[in-house]
Amino acid sequence: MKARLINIREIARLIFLEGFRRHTILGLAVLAIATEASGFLFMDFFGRDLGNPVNDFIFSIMWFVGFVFIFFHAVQIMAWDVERGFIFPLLARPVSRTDYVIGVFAGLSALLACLQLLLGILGFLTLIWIKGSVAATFFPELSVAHYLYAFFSLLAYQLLLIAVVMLLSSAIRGSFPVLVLSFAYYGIASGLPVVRSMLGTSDQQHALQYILTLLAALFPNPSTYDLKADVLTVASNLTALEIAAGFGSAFLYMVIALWLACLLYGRRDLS
Amino acid sequence: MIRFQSVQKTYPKELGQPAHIALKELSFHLQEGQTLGLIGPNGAGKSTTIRLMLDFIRPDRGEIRILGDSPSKPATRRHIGYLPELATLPKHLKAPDVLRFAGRTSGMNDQQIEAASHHWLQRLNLLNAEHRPLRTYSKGMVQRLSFAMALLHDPKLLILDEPMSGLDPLGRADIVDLIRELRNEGRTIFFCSHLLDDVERLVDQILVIHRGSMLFNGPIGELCSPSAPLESKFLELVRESNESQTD
Repeated sequence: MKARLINIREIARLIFLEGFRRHTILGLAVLAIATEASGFLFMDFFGRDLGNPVNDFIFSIMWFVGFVFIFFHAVQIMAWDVERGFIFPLLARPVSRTDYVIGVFAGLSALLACLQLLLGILGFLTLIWIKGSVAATFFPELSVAHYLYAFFSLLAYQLLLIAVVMLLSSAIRGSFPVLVLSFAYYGIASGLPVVRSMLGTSDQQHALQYILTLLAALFPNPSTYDLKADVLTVASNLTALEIAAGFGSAFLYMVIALWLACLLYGRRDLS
Repeated sequence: MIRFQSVQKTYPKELGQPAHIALKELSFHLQEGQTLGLIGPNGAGKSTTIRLMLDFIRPDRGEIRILGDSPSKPATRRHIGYLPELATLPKHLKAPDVLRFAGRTSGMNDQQIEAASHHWLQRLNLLNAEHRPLRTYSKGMVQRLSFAMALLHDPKLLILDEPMSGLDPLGRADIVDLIRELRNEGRTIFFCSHLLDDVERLVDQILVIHRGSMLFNGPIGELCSPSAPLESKFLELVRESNESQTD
């Protein structure tokens, strides 16, 4: 067990360092920080409801940065495996394919978490600074607990997407098909609630409703994890059950996706 | 050290490509301390043989034993040093990063990794490039770094896939010397190469395959002699095989 943990840690370390030193990721971080800091400019354009646009802007930046990271960096990293041959020097060591999958996931997740933490802290400081600079009428409420919950929900959904990228990479060869299918996964997950609400509760379409419910279980709705609206409305307190349900579902999806990825990697020929 | 018993491998049908038998009933045995050279034309099944040894792919049938165990067990690879034909390493990493990975996954501690890294980087003339990102390395430097990764943990068995690939004549001569040193130390070496002169100079045993079938397996002295060098005997074997298959 100790040896496996060492293998996972060492693979994660390589993946983290490769991303950390990659100029594209550094550029993305600098751009995101600069853009997020520009939230101060909102003070000049918005009056009474200043908190909402700044908060939306900060969370939108974090969503956007996460998606760029996942769809471009994470997919490319996975393309290293057989396409670029990086998997061979790794698996030529006493490393199992399960260690490889979990190690790559851990490395990508750690890098994304660092990037988002940086943006999350900066975003919160921006909100506090703006709130302190204007009268309460313009920025009435800011809940630390809800901010943290919204932040970690966003992170949990993006880690779930990384697990989905791992799963797709285990089943499909080549970075481009993985990229297209990852986009498709997110597109379906985002569009499905719209389709379901359009169909409403029509009694005549039981089969379709059943299929859509099944699909909704496979493609979790990203809006469920988008809780930025709660940050400025502190009418309700967060319950432990609410938090556990939110993170529990993301964790469950991640575990299932990674388990399937390990299973597929374990069975396939790497050629 | 390595035992292949009636191993067959077929690559399944893919879009636009029929199923392809890469190895047919391949059997051979490499004993401890021996150096075996695997040669064959392009598409003969050399890379397939190496990938099977490292469990990158699995055989359809037959049995493979590496160091007395199945290659599917990751622990088996603790005593194997592998040099891929085209080493691809992430370009933003540095030599100590990949060497630390190689050492740590093989159970070495920090002091052992540091000492072994210094030794092999010096031996392979990479010490002055140690802290440069791998994107600044030439193809030959990446190949030598991969060699350092393969040797870092003092493996019992070395599997070298085209070890002279990408090297200039000086680098090639240096690697030939290194393989000779390793052989003289009593290590078991399995390597495949297109450079038949090097193979002839370095190996005790030779395995010739063509279109997935074994054409020759035995001591190099039984196949060639000073009057009949390896290259001419190899061409003769391949032509005979082609003719027999045409008939």
